[in-house]
Amino acid sequence: MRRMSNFVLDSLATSSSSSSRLGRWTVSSSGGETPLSVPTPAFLVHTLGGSVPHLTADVLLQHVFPEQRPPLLVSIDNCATFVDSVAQFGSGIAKFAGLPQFPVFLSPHNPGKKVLPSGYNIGESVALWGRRGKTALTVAEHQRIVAAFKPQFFQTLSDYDISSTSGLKRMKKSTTRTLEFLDKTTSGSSNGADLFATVELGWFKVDGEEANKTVKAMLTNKLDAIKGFIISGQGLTCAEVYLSGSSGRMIPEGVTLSLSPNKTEGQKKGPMNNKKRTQMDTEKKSSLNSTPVEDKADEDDKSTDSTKTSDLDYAAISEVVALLPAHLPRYVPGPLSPYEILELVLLGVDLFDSSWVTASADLGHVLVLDELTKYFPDGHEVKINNESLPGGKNGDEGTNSSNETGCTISIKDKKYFSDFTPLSSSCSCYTCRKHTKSYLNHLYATEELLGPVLVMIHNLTSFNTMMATIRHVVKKDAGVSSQTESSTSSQESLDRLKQCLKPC
Amino acid sequence: SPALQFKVLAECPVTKARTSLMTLPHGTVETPVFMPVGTQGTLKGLLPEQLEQLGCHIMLGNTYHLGNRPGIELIKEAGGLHNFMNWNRSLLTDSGGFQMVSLLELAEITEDGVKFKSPYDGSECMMTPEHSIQIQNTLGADIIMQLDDVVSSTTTGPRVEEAMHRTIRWLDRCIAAHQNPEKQNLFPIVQGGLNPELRKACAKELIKRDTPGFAIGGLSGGESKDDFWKMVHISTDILPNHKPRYLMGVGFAEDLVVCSALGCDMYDCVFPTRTARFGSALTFTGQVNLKHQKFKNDFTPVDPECPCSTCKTYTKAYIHAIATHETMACHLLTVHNITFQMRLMKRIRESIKEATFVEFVRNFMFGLYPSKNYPKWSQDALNAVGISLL
Ligand SMILES: [Zn+2]
Ligand SMILES: [Zn+2]
Repeated sequence: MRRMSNFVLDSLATSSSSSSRLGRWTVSSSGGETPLSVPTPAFLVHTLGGSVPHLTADVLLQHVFPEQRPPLLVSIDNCATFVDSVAQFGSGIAKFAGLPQFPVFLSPHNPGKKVLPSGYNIGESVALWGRRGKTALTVAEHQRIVAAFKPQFFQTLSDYDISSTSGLKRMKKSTTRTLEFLDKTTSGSSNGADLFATVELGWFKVDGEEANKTVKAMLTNKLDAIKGFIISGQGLTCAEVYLSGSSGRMIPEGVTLSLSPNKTEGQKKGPMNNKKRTQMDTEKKSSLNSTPVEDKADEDDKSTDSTKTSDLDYAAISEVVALLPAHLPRYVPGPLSPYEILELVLLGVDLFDSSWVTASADLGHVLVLDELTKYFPDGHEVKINNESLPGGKNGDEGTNSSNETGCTISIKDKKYFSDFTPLSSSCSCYTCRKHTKSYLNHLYATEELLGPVLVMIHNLTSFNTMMATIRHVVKKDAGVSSQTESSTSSQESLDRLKQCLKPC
Repeated sequence: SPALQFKVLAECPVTKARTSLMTLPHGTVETPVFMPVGTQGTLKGLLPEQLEQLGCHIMLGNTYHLGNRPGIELIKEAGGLHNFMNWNRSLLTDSGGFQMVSLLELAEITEDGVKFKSPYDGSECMMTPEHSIQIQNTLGADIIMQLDDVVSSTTTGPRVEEAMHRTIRWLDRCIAAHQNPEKQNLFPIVQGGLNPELRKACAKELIKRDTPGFAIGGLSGGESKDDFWKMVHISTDILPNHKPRYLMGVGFAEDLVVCSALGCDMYDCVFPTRTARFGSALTFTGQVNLKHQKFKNDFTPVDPECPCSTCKTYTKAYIHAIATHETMACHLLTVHNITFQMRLMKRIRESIKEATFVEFVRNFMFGLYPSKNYPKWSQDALNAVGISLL
């Protein structure tokens, strides 16, 4: 069997304040070239239908990743309609989607998607919500897809239908099923791909003791087979505005960026039933549907509140991380903001994805790291001279704009209508070299396709810069970097970084 | 004209086709040329750099749309449309009149100009020839168009004649209003509906003004192909050889080849980009709709001979897989379709240079119609300039 990947920890943080770690993820690419080395913490590149949203392969390679080859996050739900084509193609999803240079991480569900409907995980399958509605994914079908897509990594199936308001009975059903899925998956062929086991955050919200037992059972029985963990789950995240509908990107216009914990609850009953009917109608057509799906599971099987979204539960994630073996990478999927990513890095999470970038491009939200790059130029050096900052002459200007720096701006805002400066003064991406805020404001106002293309280029580049800076600060935090490098303490650097990434 | 040099490099010994170099303030354009339409100051998701790489040297912007959003004041502040959209090659803007008449239900043409209700506040507005030129002067395109009195190409009767005469009167007002003749080229537009006598009269009147080039307008709007080619043929017979001829709104491959044989030099059309959005790829053997089930497992490129990044990287099966829902499919097909237009025009130009244009036309038509069931209109049109297909 090919060995697809290897995760080596460079260091664990030594500071008492954080559990952050630096690692090196060695990954063989789909093209079978020399193995790639991905420094962690890192992000997987979110895709829809196998492509990085809005970016053709040549634009992606030329303007976003001329050298790096970060793994792509491909989700089965938004590729479900063409699984058979990929199988017949025979060279895997990366090549099929025009990106053979990149390794692939295959997950069942698009992490950028709205919370999945409750009550449909039945029998030996989990419900997958694709463009043509619901399909039932069994382990056998999942393995067929893994064989066809030829990822370097894949996430095991789990019964995701669990949240803080689920009963203990429902939770035990979820853990039992998830362990069974893992069991079946490891006893079948792995198709040479590395397996990431899924731990549902929801378990820890229902019953910590049971949840503990479940994770320990995974570790006792399957540790050899597991090459990493995914901490996922309903209610994990997030600003609702960054979660998109079932097509992967149907965000209503005019939604403001706010946390809306109960928003979806009230709307749940009516529209959901209509939707269900169409889904039932269409599911026969799907090639994925290998088991007959009856109607919804019985009432007892149903979680009442899994459409709820909430703040990121750092405490629960921390609890999960503490249970996981140190030598394996941990991935928290979802459209996490830069600040949330930093917080999770400090809790010991290694991997993220760029579904936040996908959503932000659709919303016209632009990541501006001017403040960050002022303190951490190139994401490597820290040069803080107490109060006097690089570019001190423009000190006043700096404070004027500081209510916007270090986070996101909305390019649709009419204040950018006649702003002929680049998105970011410190960014040298194609978009910032070639175009102005004013032009981007116009592209979004006219809903021209070039708008999201240019914002994707900038935001992915900035995400990359952000991760590099986070790694730098973690390195410092871990005491790895040489003492002479800068005069600031690691705590100062970290505080500074947090300040820079704080939401507006 | 100081802003336009037109040098004919080669003429087809049989047909009226010619290939030329048209030098504009923002660079030299080889003709016959197809100009992609970037309505709102952008070409359907392509980076300006990609367009350059595809060999595009001139593109269109729409005055009506740009005047609405972002508005002329902003583009003025940005230093013109070139700067605003960061496109450093040549641009052509239309007068805005056509869009107004076709998009605004209540637009009404008076001697003064086009009267319309503002789509925003309902107030009554007037677009005069002077106003159109003023806006286009601010946009700063290399070629600008006169405001013309557009009537539907299927209209008949005295209205057509009125429109033709008014177009000439408006041309004189446009010439008088034009502020930048040393940097921008104002093209008049031959009108006259489907009436050969009116077309001739219009063309003869226009050529009395010393404009740097001419456009043929009012066609490609639902008239029969039989009428269409005859009006083109009549117009190019009169328009001078030493100036470029722009046939407005034409972009189907077959039309481009036939009309180049009739002596046209420039074309524009939204078709290649619009059809890309519907999942359709252009090839030398016709259009291919990639939404069709038969491409589900077709692992070959759209056109194995096409040098575009789409054909080099992606298969028909992949484009089919994402055709109905991801904007990626639209991007991939836009790249290919613009490349196709550029390749087609290049083949036309090179065959004229090599004096093999007639052969090229025959091969091209045979590629589209392998069973030689050529449409009558293209047979007639090509016959009229000395090419017999059968
Ligand atoms: Zn940038
Ligand atoms: Zn192509």
